[in-house]
Formats: sequence, structure tokens, C-alpha cells
Amino acid sequence: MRTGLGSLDALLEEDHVTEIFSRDPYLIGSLCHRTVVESAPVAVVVVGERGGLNPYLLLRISRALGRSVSVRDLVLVKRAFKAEDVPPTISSLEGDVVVIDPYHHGKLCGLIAAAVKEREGRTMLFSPRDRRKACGAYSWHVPSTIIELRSMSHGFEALVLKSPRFPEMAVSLPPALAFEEKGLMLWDQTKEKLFKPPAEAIAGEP
Amino acid sequence: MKGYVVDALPKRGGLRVFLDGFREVSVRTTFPIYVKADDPERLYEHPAVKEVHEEDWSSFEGKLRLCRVELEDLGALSYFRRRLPIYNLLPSPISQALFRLNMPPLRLIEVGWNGAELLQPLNSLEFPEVSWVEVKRYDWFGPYRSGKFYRLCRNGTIEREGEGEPEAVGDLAYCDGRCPRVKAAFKVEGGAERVWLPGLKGLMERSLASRSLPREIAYSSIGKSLTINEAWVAMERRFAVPELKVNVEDGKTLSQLMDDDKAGLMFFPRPGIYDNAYQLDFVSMYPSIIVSRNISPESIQEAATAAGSIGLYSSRSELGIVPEAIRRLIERRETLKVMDRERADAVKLMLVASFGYLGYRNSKFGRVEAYEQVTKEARKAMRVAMEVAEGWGFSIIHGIIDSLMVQGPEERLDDMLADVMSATRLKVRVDEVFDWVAFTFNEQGEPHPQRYFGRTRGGGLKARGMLRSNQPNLVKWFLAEVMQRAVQEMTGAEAKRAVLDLLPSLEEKYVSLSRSSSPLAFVMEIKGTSYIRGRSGFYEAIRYVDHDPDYYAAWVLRVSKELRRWFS
Repeated sequence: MRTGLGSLDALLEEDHVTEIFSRDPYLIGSLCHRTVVESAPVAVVVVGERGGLNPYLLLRISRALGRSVSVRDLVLVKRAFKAEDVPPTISSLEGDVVVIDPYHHGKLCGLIAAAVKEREGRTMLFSPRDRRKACGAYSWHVPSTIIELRSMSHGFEALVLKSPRFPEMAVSLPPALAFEEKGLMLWDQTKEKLFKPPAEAIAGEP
Repeated sequence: MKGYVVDALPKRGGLRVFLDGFREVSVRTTFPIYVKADDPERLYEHPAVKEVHEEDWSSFEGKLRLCRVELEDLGALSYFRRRLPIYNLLPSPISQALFRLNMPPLRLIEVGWNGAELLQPLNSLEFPEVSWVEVKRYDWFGPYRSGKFYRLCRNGTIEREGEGEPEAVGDLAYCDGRCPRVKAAFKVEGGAERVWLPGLKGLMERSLASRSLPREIAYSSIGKSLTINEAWVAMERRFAVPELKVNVEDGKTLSQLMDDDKAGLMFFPRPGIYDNAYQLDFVSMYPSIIVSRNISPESIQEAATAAGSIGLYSSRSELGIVPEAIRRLIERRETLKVMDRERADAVKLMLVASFGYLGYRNSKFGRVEAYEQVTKEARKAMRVAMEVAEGWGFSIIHGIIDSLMVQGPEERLDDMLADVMSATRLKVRVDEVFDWVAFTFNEQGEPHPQRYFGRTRGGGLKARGMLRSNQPNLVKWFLAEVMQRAVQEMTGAEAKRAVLDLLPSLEEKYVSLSRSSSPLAFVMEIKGTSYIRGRSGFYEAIRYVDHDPDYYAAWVLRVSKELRRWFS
């Protein structure tokens, strides 16, 4: 699994379970979506009633990154609406899994942490809340690496709170969604290709 | 002793049953609870356990062997709840006990030495002949829980109005606010209830439909009555309902998620005034889809297991638990519609909640795939209806979830309707025939999806989203006067002319009223509280001091400008 940001990926490459949290919902959301696209094929567990995964943003990121295969059929989504649904949903998945807001309900933290720990595949947890408060640091023994994201004027800062390989440190990173999407420009080029008569045809006209 | 059961309270070894006329009967009984226990013999260790029976049930998890524990004291329920997986808590053990004793709530019974006899069929539509009292409080600006005045209604008709503390005696009572001098066997005091629609009569109807005591559902959401109803069907089929249902969704790809996770179909109308329009309405669309397509959580689960994917909702001929419960409610509503509108509305409320409850996380019979399947079927039905209507030469003006507004040849309307019904397998009716209908739009020219009004075939006014509670009364009166004038005209063009002629004088009248009118004109309701805009901001209407005339005059002028835009 990878986030698409070189220095962050270097930090996380040997992890079994990684937890990333931030109080800035946009920041954590954008990194989470980028991670899903970069790690596809991957399974995603969305916890809570109000979502947290925007399929259209995933498609946009995939298109902007120039992925030849669309993420449409490479991302498997399961939703867990209440706290009791979360542990069995996490356990039901094999391979790499991204869990969005696993401690959303603030209860059954131990069971959720146990379900994550039991998994054989790699797991990345993204929490749009201060995890020091939500469910406390109770389940912090499960992830190998814990990172807190903080927004900066140009990009964001990743504070490594726990890591088996690195000391506590801060890494400055560019915005997770900083890439160019050609959008309408691309459509315009296509249109020209489709509707403009080829140059040789014009040259060959009497 | 003959009477209606209005309330019941558990006691050790039985129930205190309250009949109408403040009569009380003590009945010896036990309360059934269902637990999953490895060693049923040990259940007898609790002093409240009288009997234990092992029974076979089916459930969402498959076949189950449950122990029916007969408790002498309902207080022991919490003991078992903490220690063992518990099933069938809905309908409540009290309702189950009453049912076994032939004493369902609000039904006529006769109690004798050999027990009780039910004198009405269980699904009888007769309304109980009990005395029910409603007290509503109000003040000068309208309904207000701590208002000075009260209106006391007995059995649906106003008995008296007055000032101060009302006094009354009845079998059942509802008080909007506190009313310590109203005595009843069961009293609902306003402010604590979660859903209060549509009145005490509605609560009694919900109690009758769900065979549960008014006490059990008065302070709960509408979904509880619905769930109890479904739980009765489940009990009949020996399908155990767990206290907490854990759902693990089948995985979906992004494409599937984007296809399935959508709401009903809605499209924006083309703004303007249309002559001769017909409003078609799918009758109880979502509940009907649930029944006709047999969409139920347990059938969805079976179908998914059989087919390996969601999409095939049911291959069974037997109706699922949810469709069966909803079918009974639909039938009940259809009969009540001609008997009693208020009771029919209470059942309608349960039907409306039935669809949302399919997708609700805490619903005992919920499953998100079933919910999504219903919306998918609804969108499909709307698309089919539109295609059929267009095929018959009708043009679609507007469509929203379960309603279509079309324009076209009236002589083909019946044929088109029959075609739509056979193509969608859903009941469709002509809800309204408009001589003309106006669709409104905002300053940028974008249409309002649900704001229209028009003249119906009988010369009446039908308006949706035009008069809202958060508008001051002054603005509502202004709009109502304009619309009343417009519907006197037979065609849209004539209505346009009439409104444009009327507007200057009416605008002047209401702008002057914004400076000198009774305080009632300046009241607006926001989230159930009445407010007035004063010179220093908004404040509650009960503390009326002054109003800001410029604010109200500006609102009138804004609405007038809007009306000019719509009618020009």
C-alpha cells in the first residue's frame, strides 16, 4: 500500500498496520482518497452513516494521475454503519484494507483494534479526529506507525508519533491532491481531433 | 366485566390491567423472554424463572435453538439481558403476555373468572369507545406550550376553551405542555414525546395497528410501531429477532456503489405557466415496491447467497417479513381512508417510515441493500412511466420521486395510465387536473424543484412550497391573496394579466401594513418556535415589544418582485 507521497511511503513501507489521523477533515480525506487510488486494488471500509468516501473524487484522482486502468472495479467498498458492524466487517476482508474513521462511534474500541490486529493483510486506518481523545491511546499498541497530519500554508506536516524504524520527527509534504488535471483542455483536444478535418484532406482539396 | 384495555403495568406474578372508566383488573401471568443458553437447566437458578421451554426458531443467522423463559417478575429481564444473547424483545414481553391472555390493547374484552374473552376480531377496524382528552395550549400568536389559553377536546370535538389550568378526566389524555389537573389512566405530557403526529387519535391507531400499549409507543419514534408490527409477523413465522442485529455488507465495487447508492429520481421543471396539466401519482410508491417486489432483509440475504451478488432480490414465492407487515398496513390504510382520514394518516405515517427504516442502521429489519433496491426500483418505475407517457403523446413537465406532471391529450389519459400501471406493476392515479399550473424559479432563472401552484379543475387552489411556516404571516397573507386572485382565471395567460394588474395596489397595501398592523402579522415560526423581528434582532413572539417595519416591508417587496418575474 502506498500514499503516493515518496517520503511518507518510505516511512510506512514495512508496516503491517498504520494509523494516520488529523483534526483537519480535508487533509485526512484527501490523503485517504489518494492512498486508495495509489493502492488499488484495495478494499475500503467506511465507518459511519455520513460516508467519508467520495467515489467521484477517486475517479478524478485516478484520471489525473493517468492511471491506465480505472479504479472503478479495483476498489471494493464495504460500509459499517454502526459500531457493532465494524469488527466483523474488517475481519471479513482479505488483502490490503483502508479503514476510514474506524473509531467514529467512540465505542467498542478494543474489539475494533482486535479485528485490525488479527488481519493478515496490510491495514491503513484514517481518522478525521484527534485520536488522543477519540477512543484514547488505548488501541495504539496495534499500529506499527502512527502519524498525525497538520496543515501548513503550502502542504502539510506529518508528525511521526510512533514508528519502529524512525525517531519522533516531522516531515513536510506537498498537498496530497497537488496534481494537474487537464479536464476540459483534454476534451477540447479530443473535440479537435474528432471534428477538425485532417490536414492532408485540406491540402488535397481542389 | 366488559371494557377496553387502555394500559397495563407489570407486577410480581402478573399484570395490573387498566380498563376504561378507571377500572383495574389483576391478572396472574408470566412474561416470555427468549434467550440462547448452552445449559437451559441453569436458567432455573434465577428465582423469577417459572418455566423454561426449548424451541426451534429461524433467524438471520440460520436455525437457532432458543429457550423460552417464563418470568414471574419482569425485573429479572435486565439480569438475563446482561448475561445472555436475548431475542424477541419486540413485541415487548408485556404485549406478548397480553396477547396470550386475549387482552390486546384498545380492544373490547370481557374478563371473567376463567380469563378474558376477546369480543372483537384482532384486526378489527372499530375505534375503541373510550374517553380520550387532548389539551392544546396557545397564546395570542398561535400554538405555544406555555401559553395562557387552552383548548380541551374530548373524543375529537372541542369541549371547552379557556384561560389557566384545565381540568378533565378521561381514559387516555394528551397535554401539550403540563396539565396536572387532567386525570387519565394513561397521560402523555407534551415535550417528552419524540414524534407527535397526528394527535392522540393517531397514537391510538398506531397502538391498534401494532397491537402494543399506547404507553410503549407514545414516547418512541414512529419506527418503533413499525418494527413491532414487523416483529409480530416474524413471531408468527417463528423467526427470532435479535436485540442487536449486526450487518456485514457484501462488498461493492465503485461502479456498483455509484449505481446503487442513489435517492429517488427528481428533475427540475421548466419554469413557466402550463395550461391543462395532469399530476400523476404512484400510490404509496415505496411501500408498494417493497410488497410487489418482495424486498425484505432476509429474502435479500438468501438471494445474495444464491446468486452470489446483490441485484436479485427474491426468488421466494412467500412474502418476506417486511413486505407482509407492510401489505397489512396498506390494506388497513385503504379501508380506513373511507372511514376515518385521521386514522388513515397515522397508518400512512408508519408506511412512510417503512422505507427509511429498511436502511436505518439500528433497525431490527434493516439492510442497506434492501433499501437501495427499493430506490433503484422507484427510479426504474419513474423512467418507465415517463417513456410510456411520452409514447402516448404526453410531454413531461415535472417529476419528483413518485409523482409526474404531464401535459397532453385528455382523451388518452386513461389508456396511458393503464399502460403505465401494467408496465410498472404499481398503482398510479391522477392526483390532480390543473387548468393551469405555474412553476417558479429564482433570480438566476433556476427552477425551484418543489414550489408550484395552480388552478385545479374545480376552480380551487393547489400550492406546494409557496406558503412556508418560516415566512411572516404578513407575507403569507400577501401570497395567499395573489394566488387566490390568480386562480379565478381559467387560463395561464389570463392569470398572468390579472396578477400583474393587481400587484401594484396589493404591494402598496402590504407595505403600509408592515408599518401598522396587528402583531400577529409579524410572527414567523422557526423550528416550532414563534419569532418576531424587532429593531434589535429576532426575539420570541411571547415577549412582543416592537417590530422592524423595514425588514417586513423589504420582504413584501422582494416577494412582489418575484411574483412579477414569474408572471411576466
